[in-house]
Amino acid sequence: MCANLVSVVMQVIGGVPVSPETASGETSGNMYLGNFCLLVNTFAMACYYILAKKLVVKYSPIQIAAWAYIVAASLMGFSSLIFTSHTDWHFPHSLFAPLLYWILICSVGGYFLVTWAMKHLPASQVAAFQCLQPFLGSLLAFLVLHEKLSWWDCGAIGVVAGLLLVSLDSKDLQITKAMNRLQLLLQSKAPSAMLGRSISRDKM
Amino acid sequence: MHGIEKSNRNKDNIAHAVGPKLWLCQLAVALTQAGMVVGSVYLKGSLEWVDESKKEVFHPIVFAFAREASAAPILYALSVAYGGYSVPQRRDIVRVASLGAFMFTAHIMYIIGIELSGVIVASCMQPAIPVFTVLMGILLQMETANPQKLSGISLAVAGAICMVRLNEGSSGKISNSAAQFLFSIVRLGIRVCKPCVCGHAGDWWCSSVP
Repeated sequence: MCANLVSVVMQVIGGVPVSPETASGETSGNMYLGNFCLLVNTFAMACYYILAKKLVVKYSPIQIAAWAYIVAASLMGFSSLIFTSHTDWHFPHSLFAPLLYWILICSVGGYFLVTWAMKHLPASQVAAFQCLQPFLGSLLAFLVLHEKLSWWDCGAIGVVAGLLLVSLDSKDLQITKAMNRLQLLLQSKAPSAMLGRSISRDKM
Repeated sequence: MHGIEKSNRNKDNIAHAVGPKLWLCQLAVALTQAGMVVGSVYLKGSLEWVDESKKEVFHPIVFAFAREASAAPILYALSVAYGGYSVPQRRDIVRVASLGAFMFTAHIMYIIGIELSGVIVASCMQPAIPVFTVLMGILLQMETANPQKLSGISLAVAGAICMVRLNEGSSGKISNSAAQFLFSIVRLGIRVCKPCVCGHAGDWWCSSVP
């Protein structure tokens, strides 16, 4: 089983789409490294969703998002010392507004909402909505930039149909609710406190 | 009496765990994804106005650090305002640190991956996130491997990869390799989920899956 899984994972790394710009022999090594980095990115994001699902039962979503961002910001600050030089810190004035948007809407609002939704939905369902990004991107391009649609955009039907299948899976949602209740009961101190009082009363 | 009050408070927590309407949660996640798409377009559009004559430089790691370092205190202030000053319990410190480490790893690997492999490859890889999430959820026994959920995720992932501007004229190689990549991801998922699904769906599923 493990050997099969390793072989399939290696096929994934090797089978990732080749960009025409980086298809030369000199950059093929960098490309495989890039493919591996992107695979690690997707795996790390999945681990984030799973771990956040475990923590959100105990703590409030805003606390989890705050603590995660504090750790991530510290690590990113350390990385920026390694990967950047002093010339890279001349921040463009034109990017202050997008930065503000990313801070308030995507980071603060976005991660809080995702963590809040994780409290009530299965982690896989929250992650499945990631597939909305290419759909919304194409929709924006069509409506705002008046770009022409291609036959590949019929994938939007798959995205919407897939998300409807996942969202309307009532059995999965019932199991998630039941697991949330069970975890809250297990973490409840009231039964042990009542048990302690009854033991002390018996001793008296 | 104190124990009974705590018991009632726990019942309230349990009632709250049933929670708001599910469509609200799903809408919240969908709006988050929409916000990120708009943010990407906004950032890409603003890059055209970077003035290199004034030695202005856009470095993605600097941008990511500025974003995270600014968002962290805002989120912490909101968490203190909402629930008071709090720290994770000692036994959860490793989990919380790991959560932050996973977030950092995801962000920095995405930045490096885009630099080395390109935007198209990065866009093709993103739909793999729900696949890995459902696989880990099933392996850790946090979720069930029911056919409806697995079919929905496979369909959404396939649709998303199709939509990543795989134009036949410019990148036939990309179309073929993207299909191979998708097939590999789905094959990995089937190999992991097959034992779990067989318990639910019976022999007809097991006999149809290679």
